[in-house]
Amino acid sequence: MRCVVSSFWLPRDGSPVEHYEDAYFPRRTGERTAPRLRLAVADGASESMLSGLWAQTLVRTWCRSRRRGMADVVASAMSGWDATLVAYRRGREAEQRPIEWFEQPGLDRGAHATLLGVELTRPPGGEGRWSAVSLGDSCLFQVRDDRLIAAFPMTDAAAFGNSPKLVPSHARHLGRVVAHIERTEGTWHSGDVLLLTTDALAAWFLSGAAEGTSPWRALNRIACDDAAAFEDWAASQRASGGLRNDDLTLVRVEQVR
Amino acid sequence: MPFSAEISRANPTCFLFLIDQSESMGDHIGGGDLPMTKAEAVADAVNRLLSELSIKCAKEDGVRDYFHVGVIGYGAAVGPILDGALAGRDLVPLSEVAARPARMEERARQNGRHPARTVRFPTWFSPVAYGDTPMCAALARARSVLAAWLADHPGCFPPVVVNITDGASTDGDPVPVAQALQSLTGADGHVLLFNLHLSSGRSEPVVFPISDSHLPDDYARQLHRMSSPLPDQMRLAAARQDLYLEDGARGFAFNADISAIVQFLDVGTQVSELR
Repeated sequence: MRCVVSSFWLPRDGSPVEHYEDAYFPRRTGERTAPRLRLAVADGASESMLSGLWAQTLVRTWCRSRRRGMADVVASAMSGWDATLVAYRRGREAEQRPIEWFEQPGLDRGAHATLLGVELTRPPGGEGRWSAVSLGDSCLFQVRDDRLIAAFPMTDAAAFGNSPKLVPSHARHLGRVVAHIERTEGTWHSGDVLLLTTDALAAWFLSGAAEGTSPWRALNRIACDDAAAFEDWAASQRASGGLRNDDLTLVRVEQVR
Repeated sequence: MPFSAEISRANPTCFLFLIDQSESMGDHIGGGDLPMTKAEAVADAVNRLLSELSIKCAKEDGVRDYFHVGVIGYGAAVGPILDGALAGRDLVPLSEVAARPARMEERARQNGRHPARTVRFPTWFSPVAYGDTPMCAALARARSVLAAWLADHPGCFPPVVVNITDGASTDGDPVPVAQALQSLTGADGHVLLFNLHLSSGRSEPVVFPISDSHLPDDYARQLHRMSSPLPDQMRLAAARQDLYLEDGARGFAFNADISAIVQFLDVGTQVSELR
């Protein structure tokens, strides 16, 4: 399986890059040749402490856990979170910035993020397949021959809100996470494009698809690694009101013929 | 579309609390059944709300200034009542509110069958019950504070004023002054005035009613008339928290907790537990 991976990200307009709380993996872009490839995007909740770090933990764990399912991946990420917190507290103490009274309840409550994990496989001589797992409103879209042929898990721009399902960092919630995981799968051909996005971009995409504007064309025009082009495109969409001002993340995978 | 401005650090909005400090606020709540005066209950509720707002906006790099907050008291005098380092200030960015409580009290919190544990309870002002009820002067003060705020923040989500009182104004008819306050307008709509009426009696709580037909007295009905209808966006946010309010529901509560309105303002992805 040969494919080209590109990724684009931006913090919400008016926020510094340190406030970007989405996450994506793999970080390395460009052409890949492998029998199996995992990709993920996640969106850390604004009303949650350390949610950007938790989103990064989830996407990394998904992509580095070959063949393990979402429940195992989340359990593994949860099992390491206490150690992450201990390290965070030590770091704060070393900086002489001890945890404040208004931070403690958020740390006690844990971090929260959406997660979309995708796996691409193609056995030698066999058909290319993809499978996706999700909790929350980060989305996967599949485009073939200039048509949208799959959208997961959201299919309607009007269904996005500000309280999506979220993966919590506390291990005691694992059972409820497992009960809410959504799964789907499909096949993919040479020339197909898969797009993984967080909510703001996904809502824009679904709205455009419903209106017949073929929104994938604009995203496919942005060349691999051309961050400036993505930034220009996002600025114009935000200015026109078509794209909600939020962190933006896009991972694009194209299967090379 | 009004009431749709993004609330962000670059475009913050504000909460202004007006707190009745008149003598009758020294009466016990719930018809004397509870060991707490109305003034103490209100101070507790607003201090807790300031604390929850700080926690809601806390991130790793500190509390984000999505909101500026002020507390104006009216009784023997009319003016800002934050104590300590924030004394004398009408509106304070939330990060400063969080960083400078006047006191940090230790309180015991019962946790089901577990032994009570001590929690830290920050307070920014103390209960006072002394003097008349100069509500008109308080509303006029709010108008001048928010006129200045809107001049500096013309595109903000409209400021929210929460007036908490137990009785009648003693310095005139508050309705026209309230209307003047609500007529202040920025690019995203007019100032919202919400009222919380406390009584000393054992009346049933009423929250966000459309009509005043279930309200027990003229003071409550007058405050209901003075209260802004909740904008659609706030009703939608309430619905997401399983509180379904019809079109026309007013920002008014009688003998009830009004702190839920803080949760009706969207500052980003909210955390709700999976069920």
